Amino acid sequence: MVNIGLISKAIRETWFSTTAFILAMFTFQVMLAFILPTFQKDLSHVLENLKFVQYIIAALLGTDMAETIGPEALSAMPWVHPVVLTLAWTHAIMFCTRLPAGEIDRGTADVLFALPVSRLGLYLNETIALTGSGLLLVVGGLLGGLLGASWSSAEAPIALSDLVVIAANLFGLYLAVAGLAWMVSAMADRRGRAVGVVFAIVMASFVLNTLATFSESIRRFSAFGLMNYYKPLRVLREHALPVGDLLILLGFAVTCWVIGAIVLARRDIRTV
Amino acid sequence: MTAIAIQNLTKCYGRSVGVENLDLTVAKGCIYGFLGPNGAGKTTTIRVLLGLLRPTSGGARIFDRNCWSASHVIKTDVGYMPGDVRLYPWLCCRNALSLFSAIRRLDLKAYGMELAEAFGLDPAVRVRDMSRGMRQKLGLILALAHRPKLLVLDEPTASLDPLMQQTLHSLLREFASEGSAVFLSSHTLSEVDQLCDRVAILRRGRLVEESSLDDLRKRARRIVTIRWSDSSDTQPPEVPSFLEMLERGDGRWTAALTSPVPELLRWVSKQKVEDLSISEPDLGRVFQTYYE
Repeated sequence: MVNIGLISKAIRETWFSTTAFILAMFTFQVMLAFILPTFQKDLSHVLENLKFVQYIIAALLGTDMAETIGPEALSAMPWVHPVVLTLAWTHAIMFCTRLPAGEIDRGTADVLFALPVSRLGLYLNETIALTGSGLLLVVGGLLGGLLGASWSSAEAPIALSDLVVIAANLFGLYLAVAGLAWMVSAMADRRGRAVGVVFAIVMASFVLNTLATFSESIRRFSAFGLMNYYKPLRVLREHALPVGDLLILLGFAVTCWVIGAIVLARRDIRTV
Repeated sequence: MTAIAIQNLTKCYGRSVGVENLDLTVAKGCIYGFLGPNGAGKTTTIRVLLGLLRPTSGGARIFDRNCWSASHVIKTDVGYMPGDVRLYPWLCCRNALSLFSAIRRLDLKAYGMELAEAFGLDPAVRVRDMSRGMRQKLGLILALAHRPKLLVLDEPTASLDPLMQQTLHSLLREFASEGSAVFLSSHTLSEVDQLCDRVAILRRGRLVEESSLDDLRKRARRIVTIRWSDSSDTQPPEVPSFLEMLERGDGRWTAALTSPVPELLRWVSKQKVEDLSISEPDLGRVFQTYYE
């Protein structure tokens, strides 16, 4: 099933954007991991006066608004920053909408699907390439966080084990978005449409979980949002692997992946 | 063993019909022409053969394997070039051969480079910098490089210059002489006439003709031009039943011959004829009747 040619094709097509995303993730994590603890006192003072920003941060972190934004919350901030999340989601969506929607859209599907590889084989080899790329992206963020923390003047820097657990949680979220993107792409003939649909679902999920912090009535639906299962602050407080959250994210990813595989195996590959 | 066996194949797209109740077989070593006007269902049939489309009913088999369920196994022995070749813009001939070698788990480089030389394609030019003709050459190289037992080509010479068309024709004849089957769709009737052993003609998704080229030639009418002796006391005779008059006047007849040539010659020998010309069987006209 593993085909080096197909994996190298996927890497050849994505290496430039993946490298750019890893560099961006690394740089952003270095900046945030350095800046936030260094200016913690000043930031806390500013946040006290800017209640709305405090609410937004609390919403991103998934904490209760009544809690104060302390050192742990600020340490968790680099992992829930919208830029970091956008980088992870965008990479997953860009990668996973290439097959089959992207291939059909640009007309290369005829050549690719005429090769002696099963559709499931194509899907599997793309998945291997995606998993490797996603892992590099998250490791890039992890290394950036470690480097930034080592330069900062934080009194109690985050333990490496906690950082690894947060990175694993982010990777789970990445795979969940990737699975969703694959499922949508398997049903689409136009890449732009597939990207749009996945972005809309992911953004709706993000908004749902953000608003759930403010509203009790919305909170009842928060289990339907992916961000409900990504809580770096909880990891920092409990120092434990969020097994349940990870299982839900991976379960979602696998379910979507399997649906996508079934759809791809049964659908017509038409010209557009 | 037949290379292709299509049985009662129907493919619908929603309410519209791509092909309907299609039956045909292609033997090994045969160059098979697949003709029909645009929208007749040629590409639909080809895409079913390659496992890109799932038949609505009926089915197609290649080397006695089902084209849908065993598609990836079949494609080991199939070379395909789509009508509108689209390739990855970052590919050049050299790295395409490396990539396809890795995917097919075969070394395609040596023969692929031979083909590139035969087609006059620079192996270092990237697809993004290629003309349509060059892309078509690369598509052909990738379809031929693994020496498939069946070649499926959708309008293979559409963007090739006449010299390259001849090169491709020679290659296809060589493939067929080695026992490979060639299934090609084309709108170029002279190409089909020169190259194919058998043809199938589709129209509005249905097979309207399937026969050998020799049979078609026998059925094709010849165009006869007769110039009468320039003599004022001579009146042209009555038109015989085996001539269908196309044009008449100025001491000249142009007519379609509907019977064998000897009958015409016997009749002409009794007339005062100054000149007679008989064309080759007009296959183009035969095809045209199916196209119209």
